[in-house]
Amino acid sequence: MRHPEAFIADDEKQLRIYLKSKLSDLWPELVIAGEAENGHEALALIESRRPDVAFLDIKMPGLSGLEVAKRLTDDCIVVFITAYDEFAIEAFENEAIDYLLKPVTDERLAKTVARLKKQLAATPSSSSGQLSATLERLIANLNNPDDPGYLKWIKARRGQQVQLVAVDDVHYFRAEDKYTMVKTGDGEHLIKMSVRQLADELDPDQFWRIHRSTIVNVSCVAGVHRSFSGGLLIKLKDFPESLTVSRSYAYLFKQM
Amino acid sequence: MAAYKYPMKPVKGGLTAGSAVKLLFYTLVFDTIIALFLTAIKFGGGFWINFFFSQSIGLSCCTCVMAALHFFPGDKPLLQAMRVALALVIGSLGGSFLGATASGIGAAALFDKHGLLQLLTLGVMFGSIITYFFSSREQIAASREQLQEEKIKRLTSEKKAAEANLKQLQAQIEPHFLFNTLSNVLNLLDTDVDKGKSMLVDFTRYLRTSLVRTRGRRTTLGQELDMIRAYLNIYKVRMEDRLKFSLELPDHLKDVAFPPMLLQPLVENAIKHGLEPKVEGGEILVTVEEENGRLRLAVADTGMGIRVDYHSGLGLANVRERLESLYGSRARFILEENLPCGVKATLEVPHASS
Repeated sequence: MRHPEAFIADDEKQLRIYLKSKLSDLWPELVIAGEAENGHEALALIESRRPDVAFLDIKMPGLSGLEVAKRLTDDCIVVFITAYDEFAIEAFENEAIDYLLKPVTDERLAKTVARLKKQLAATPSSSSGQLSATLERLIANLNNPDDPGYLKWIKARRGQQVQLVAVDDVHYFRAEDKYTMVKTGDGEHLIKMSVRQLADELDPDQFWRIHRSTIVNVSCVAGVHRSFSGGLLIKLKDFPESLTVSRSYAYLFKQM
Repeated sequence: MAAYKYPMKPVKGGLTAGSAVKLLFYTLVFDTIIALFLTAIKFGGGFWINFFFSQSIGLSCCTCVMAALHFFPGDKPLLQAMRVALALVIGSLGGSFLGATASGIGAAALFDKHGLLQLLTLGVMFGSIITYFFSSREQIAASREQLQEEKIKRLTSEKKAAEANLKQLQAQIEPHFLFNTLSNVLNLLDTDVDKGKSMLVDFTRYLRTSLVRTRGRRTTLGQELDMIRAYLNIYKVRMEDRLKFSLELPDHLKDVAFPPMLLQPLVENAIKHGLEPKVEGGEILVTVEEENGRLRLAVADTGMGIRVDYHSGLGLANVRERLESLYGSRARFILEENLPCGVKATLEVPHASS
């Protein structure tokens, strides 16, 4: 009878050695068909060697274990390995996807081995449709855990250097010719992105457009007052200058 | 807030409608008082004549001053003072002329009786008093507001500091880091006991310093760098050739006190977002320098760099908040692209003991 083959992917060498030695203790017939230390390598090698089982670490450089599993065209049984991923473990439990927690204990691994033997003895099942939907969700979650998708950093060039300005530090943006001036507590930067583009990308709860050419960080506004000529002026904290609110945006400051 | 603040503070953003009405009201009241005063010292005509003249001169001055402030909102206090003085001269002359004409006394008769200089002196003197009274009221209101603002600011920064501390505490020992390290140690006990032991020693050192710093005790740069070395040693075992690092701390800065939880997060960040996700790994360089009474601490990596499309906050908000609450505006935090790849984070803080 053909011996079952397994593949191990983990970016940390010690952990590959550890799993290999544990597996050889608990499942001597299992042949380790290959190892990889990053996601891309794992995907290529699994596709070419077609092992029966793949142990995939979730957190790997290149591609995560989840992404590798999703892209596999081969019918190989996947066991995920993770040090700590609350949300992934919950999903695995719900979908009956096998996983191992680091450090891997003998009892837990023995359970997995028993389950794998049983699965290999039965005819290969195809539950991949369900699996890929779960993976899709997990991958999205892994890539940006709590990301609302707004712009967080401004790349501003100063000579040869590119500085990264956190948008939280920006007091206001103002259009100046073909550039946009970014005013922070430290000074001014010029960027190419237009005020209109910025308005689309910034968090609208934090940044208000008050004029065709101005976007202000609401947390930097000290107060709003009416000028002698009837227009609205914004006074900024820690700054002597005032910003003009154009008529079309005056509604933002109507009393609640 | 009203903006009529001559002469101590320059006017900002023009005169508001509310303050103009207030100014007008005070002018009316003061003019009445002046009329009473002049009648009492038997200057000019009877009370009603004096009242009439006071009001016309006062209102004229008031209008001129308001016009000067509104149409020439300057920033230089001296220039502002000169404008107001000129406005008072024009205002008192114009007011006297109008008053004299309207009351039927006639401008010529008025100037004959009191002389140009006397009228001017009176106008400018009372005008200055009113202006001064009004501006000091503004001043008091402004300083009260400033006091309130400062109080709010202080409370906010205290709250932020507490929140940042809490967040740090929660994120203190990252579970991934903890369990991966333990896994490594477990294997090394089978394959390379000495390496396993030294990893445990580094891990213990890291944990101990972590626990000390959560109690908020002041640490030194030497201790901080020791902890960072322990942390990077652990990662060196895990990442092997994928990680190179070097720490540069001049001997004379080792005992300088430095708050915890500022430099360490930058290093953790460089590993987590820069080097760990990068297939070929890279290098971390930590440097501490002193220059012109300022400490400059930099963490440079050759990792993935900032991915703008990723829109990540990078977990550096804590560092910025903490820096702000510890040093206010005296500290700087610069994040820039490291050439040819990666990120360089620089902290600049005042160096007290130089």
